[in-house]
Amino acid sequence: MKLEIKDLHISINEKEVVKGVNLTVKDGELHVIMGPNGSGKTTLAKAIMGHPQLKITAGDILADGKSIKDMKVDERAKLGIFLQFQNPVEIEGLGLLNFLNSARGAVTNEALNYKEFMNDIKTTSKDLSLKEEIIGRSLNHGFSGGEKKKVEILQMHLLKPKIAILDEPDSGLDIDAVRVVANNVEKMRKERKMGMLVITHYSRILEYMEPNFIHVMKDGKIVKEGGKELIHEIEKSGYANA
Amino acid sequence: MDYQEFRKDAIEQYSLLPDETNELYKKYHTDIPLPSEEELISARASGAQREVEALSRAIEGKTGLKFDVIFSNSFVKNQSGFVKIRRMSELGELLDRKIYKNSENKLAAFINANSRDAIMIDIQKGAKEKLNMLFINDSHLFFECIFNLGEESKLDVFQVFSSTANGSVAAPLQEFSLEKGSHLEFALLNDGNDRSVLMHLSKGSIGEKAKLNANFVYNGSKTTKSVNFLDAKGLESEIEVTEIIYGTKEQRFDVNTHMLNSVEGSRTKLNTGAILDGSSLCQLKGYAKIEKYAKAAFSNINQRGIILNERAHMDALPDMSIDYSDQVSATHSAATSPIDKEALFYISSRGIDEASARKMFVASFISKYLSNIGNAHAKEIASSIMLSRIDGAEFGAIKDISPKGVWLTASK
Repeated sequence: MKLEIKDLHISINEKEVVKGVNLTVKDGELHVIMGPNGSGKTTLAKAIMGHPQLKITAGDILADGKSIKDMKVDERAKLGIFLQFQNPVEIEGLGLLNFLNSARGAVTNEALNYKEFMNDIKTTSKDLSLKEEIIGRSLNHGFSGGEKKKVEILQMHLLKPKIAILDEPDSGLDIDAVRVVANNVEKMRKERKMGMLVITHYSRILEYMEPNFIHVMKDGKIVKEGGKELIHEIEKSGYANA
Repeated sequence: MDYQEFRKDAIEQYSLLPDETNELYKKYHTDIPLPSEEELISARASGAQREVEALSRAIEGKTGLKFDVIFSNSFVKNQSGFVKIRRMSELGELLDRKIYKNSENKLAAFINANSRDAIMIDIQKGAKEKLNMLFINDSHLFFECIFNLGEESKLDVFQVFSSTANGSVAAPLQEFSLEKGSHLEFALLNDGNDRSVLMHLSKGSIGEKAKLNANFVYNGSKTTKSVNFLDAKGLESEIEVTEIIYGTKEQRFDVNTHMLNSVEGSRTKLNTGAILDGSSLCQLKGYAKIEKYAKAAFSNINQRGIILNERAHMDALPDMSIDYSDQVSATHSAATSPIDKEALFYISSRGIDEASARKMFVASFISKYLSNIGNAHAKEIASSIMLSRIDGAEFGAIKDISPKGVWLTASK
């Protein structure tokens, strides 16, 4: 899938937060957006997924050349877009297994093969160093920061998206967990030739990934673009001079 | 008997309950009237035995639940060895010793005076029993249920309330007496029809190291009024009450639970969750009192409501009276909100359409309360009933549901 963001302007409560972003993500490409707090990165990610409280005032979002900006959230997911949330919502009482199965059925439209489904969950949970018993708990309820992020990646694995947007997959993780998450994400991206947009503040996770493009976002705009060398520049000088 | 007069008297007596003197409840009072004369027509004529039998068969057939006791005005079945159903007139002195002639408890005295039957449940010392009870309101159903649990005994009770008659009042009066070390798992599910009234009154006395886990699922009936007086009066006794309410249309709920921590080490907990749709109205009153010298007592009241329609209304009134502070923990909280939009966005982002996401959110809210029900069958049936209501089923759906395979509740 080719995801194209064209001159996108987004407002929240009449205040413009994203001010004309252009970006194209193709199959198998890894794009990284870096930038200081409040630069509009998360707003951009949520708008691609179709958050109902974000208003697109100008520009467009295209998937394989077709506008998706009027599509509902679930329709975008069915199309193959996945958003890993920075702060996944906790829903007590909603069993994780039940939720995963409902999401799997909705996105893939495939009949449940319970044995395969459970094996897939067990194997991926092991790869992600997630405790198996987490599957019997409520969705994200009482999970540690690391568990929440890993369950997001587990969902990405099960839903098999064509384009994944990862909003701070590294925040709240210890060094080992960052490596585990990054390795799993990279494996999925390469095996499935998935396009990916990763939002992060820090370069640490990128040590385990192979980004094709780095974009620096400030005050709602992409102010600098380049290859992996840009990471070192930001590490050295910060965002102030970007 | 003139049933219109009978019903009017019952309503009048209900209004005299002691909780009406609570200053907080008076200040934030929302009137929850019982249905009018016109709405509440006497249903005595519709109490046909065959209707009751047919409904009980349908419920047993669909749910797979085997009821040990089926009780209505026109049909009574008792297949339990430890349950005795007696005419009140035969009991005489036995009931005089009970709470029911306590002049402070007007409704209890009224029900006592007008009940035809008393259901006596006696669990011997050390015994472990299960009891499934079906109450079908085929006219005005006033009765008493008296639970006596001997030392170190355990009883698992599931009560289902259904109805065949419109405009009828069910007024059960239940007493729980738990002796040292005993444990009562209690679940009540009301699935009465949309023109019936449930007026539930219970009183509990929980002895040393005894535990009452009481769960009330209020689903059916046009009007539900419930009052529980529960006293953790034995050392290290424990009371946990869970109330689950699903209101739609014009349903009215007035749910009031009083808990007393009378002695050292006693624990009381009240969890109430309400989902309100349509023009339903709900008033939750949770009251806890820590008595003097109840050292290391624990009490918690937690009330939560989800409002699905702007015409629906909920008042949550947690209230505590703390007369002692030595190592005492007493906390309360209450919150009412619409469905969390961020939660809907999250669920929808996984390909689930908005209507299903809303249903999932509501079901999960209910599920966390249902998970407290200890009886697996009761939990499964209550889950199925609630899910059917989310899907728009009418009251009285219990005869149409197949609970097997409900995959809802996350482990606690």
